[in-house]
Amino acid sequence: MDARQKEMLLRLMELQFAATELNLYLDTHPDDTRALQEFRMRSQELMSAKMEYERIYGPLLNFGLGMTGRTWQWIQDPWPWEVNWRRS
Amino acid sequence: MRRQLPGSHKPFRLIRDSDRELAREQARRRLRRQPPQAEDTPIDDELTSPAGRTGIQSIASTADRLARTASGSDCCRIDPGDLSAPTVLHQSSPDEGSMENRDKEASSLTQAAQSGSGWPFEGGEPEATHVASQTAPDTPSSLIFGELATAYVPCQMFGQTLSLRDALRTGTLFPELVRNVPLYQKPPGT
Repeated sequence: MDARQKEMLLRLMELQFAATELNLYLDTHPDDTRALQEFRMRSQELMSAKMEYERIYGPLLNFGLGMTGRTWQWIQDPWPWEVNWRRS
Repeated sequence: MRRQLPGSHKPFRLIRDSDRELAREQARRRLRRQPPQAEDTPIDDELTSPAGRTGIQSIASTADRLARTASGSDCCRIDPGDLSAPTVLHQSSPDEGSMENRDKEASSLTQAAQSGSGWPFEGGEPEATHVASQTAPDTPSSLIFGELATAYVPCQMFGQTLSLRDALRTGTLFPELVRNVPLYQKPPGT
């Protein structure tokens, strides 16, 4: 796994975590317009980052949300527990 | 399903401080009484000659023997006068009743442990569970434990947010929720 792929995965995790946090906040503050606006922005960023990653490195999910190319790419990437996340 | 223990059918009764003080005073009076002297009859004679006695005499002599054998310690001393009348045997102070319930609970828990259905944690069932299971189901918990704790949690307001990288590292997007709890690490040697 090259440095760019690792950086993109890390960015995906950050965006997904932020979207989840805002999702939980909006569960108890559904009328907070600032939080709703930031949630929309982070969600769009997350969607764009996922599409960009899948365009370059293949699907993130095995079915439903990702497109399958001409070959079965699901098993080509390392699994999350196989990635050394420490910065070298 | 609520777990039932022996004695749970008994209604809950508040024991006030005045009742406890009265029970302590009665116990002090009993302890002040002198135990009977041991020179009257050899213990072996009473052990070998119960025939021909009435039930009350037998109880009194047994109490007398126990009092003589336990004359060195006040906690085991039994006054024969308390056992001379059969009705005395059926009276129980609050402390004696609780001891009886405690014995029943202990035997019940032992049976449950042997049958594999006991309390799953070490150290036995929590004391609060014991107390709650012995009370009537409709007893307010405030009567058992006193006033319960009440939490006042201020409502979160949306303000500054951490950067995405800091949020992922600290575990929250909101700086007011950062607790700096140390991350879990495996113990050394594992």
